[in-house]
Amino acid sequence: MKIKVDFTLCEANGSCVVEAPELFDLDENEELVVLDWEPGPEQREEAQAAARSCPRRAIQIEE
Amino acid sequence: VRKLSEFSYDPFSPEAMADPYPAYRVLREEHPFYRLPEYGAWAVSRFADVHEILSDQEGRYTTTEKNVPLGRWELVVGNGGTPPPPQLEPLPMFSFLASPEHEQIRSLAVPPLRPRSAASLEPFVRELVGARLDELLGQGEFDLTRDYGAIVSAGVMCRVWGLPPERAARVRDLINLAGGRPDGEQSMDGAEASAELIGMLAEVVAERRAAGADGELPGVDRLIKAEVDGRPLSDEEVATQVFAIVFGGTETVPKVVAHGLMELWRHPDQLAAVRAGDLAENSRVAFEEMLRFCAPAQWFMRTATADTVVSGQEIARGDRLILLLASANRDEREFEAPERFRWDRPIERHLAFGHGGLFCIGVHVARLEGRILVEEFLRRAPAYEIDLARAERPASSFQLGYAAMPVAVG
Repeated sequence: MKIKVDFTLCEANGSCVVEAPELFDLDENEELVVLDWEPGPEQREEAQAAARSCPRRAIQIEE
Repeated sequence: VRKLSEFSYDPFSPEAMADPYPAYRVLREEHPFYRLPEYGAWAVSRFADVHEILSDQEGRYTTTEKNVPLGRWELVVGNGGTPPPPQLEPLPMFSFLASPEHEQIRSLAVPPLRPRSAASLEPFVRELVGARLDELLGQGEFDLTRDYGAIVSAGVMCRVWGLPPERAARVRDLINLAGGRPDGEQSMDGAEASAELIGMLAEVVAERRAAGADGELPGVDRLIKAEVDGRPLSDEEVATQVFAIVFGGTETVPKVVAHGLMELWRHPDQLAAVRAGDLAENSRVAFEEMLRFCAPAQWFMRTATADTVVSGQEIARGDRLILLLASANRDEREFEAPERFRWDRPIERHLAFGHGGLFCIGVHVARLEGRILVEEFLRRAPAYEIDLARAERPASSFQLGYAAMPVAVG
């Protein structure tokens, strides 16, 4: 499973951090940091919830 | 099923502009994609369909025809099946741009609105709200929209975008005029009001440019230093981008709060429940329901850039989509008993801030202001009476909200 982020869309609203704190974080400049670009299948649900929650539709999950 | 001939909907009809909610019910139930041939448009009323269209990640929809048409005269002109390219010179408000300029302007302007930057405004907002209440509670009677919320929301916009704080009342009045609701004391029309506000903001931009635009006023300074479509922006062009944010940031929250406090007043059991627990937390929760139930923006438009299918409905390239957010937020398929205000209903998602490419850029500031306006009012006003007979909700195809909500505090 791969995480793809369109950083031209991301505005660091932080919704993904709430849904999947092990995969996403905001740095000290409030920019998005992806903590794990290729999470294992046990994190599929969190990753998909993060992608769904993004109000800017900046995250895609590729199987 | 009612025959199509017995029902008609036009977002610009006097009936829809005064009270569209009965029509939304019929649209959701019987015509989830309602054809408006005169406008080359579909009215889309169900939550799932509006959400799916706004969730598009393939560029199937654009706002280069405007996402908020001002009147039917803008829609009776067809596009010949081809949405126009964005205007780039002079640069219009970013909401009318397309990729990549749209995303570029937003990313330049967004830093002061990000979650932590918004949170850092809390002491300022609390002080502003407290000072307003000191004055208003002393009067006993005042207007929740005009005297309370709008002065605070305009004051926050002044703070974030570099206008002197004493301009807040003028900013509020200009935005009300620009939104087409003259308050009787003014003789200005909407275009003049917009021009005056853009002029005020352009003065800020000129000052920041002269001072080196070193990042002290992040959103403005970054727009000044940027190159968009291969050239720097003029003072007016920067001011126009800021104007779009100041407009959204001043107009909406006060109406949501005023309407929401009215709903609590007319449901005394709910008001008592909000007051009974942790008032700060309950105000945060209640403001979310206020957003779902009271948000004044009725719809935004998109134009299809390709033939597509949504929920089995074929959409042709060039078709306009009138996305009825206010209907979606009352969709029985998404919310239980949606036409009832229930302060603590579980809300997994709503569309008051939109979704996708044009998602509200000021969402965190709006939530901050909303919950503090509700919390501090309820904390300081032990009891209040709304004068509903004198409340005003001016007819509008777009912003159907309470411009006046008189309250007496005892």
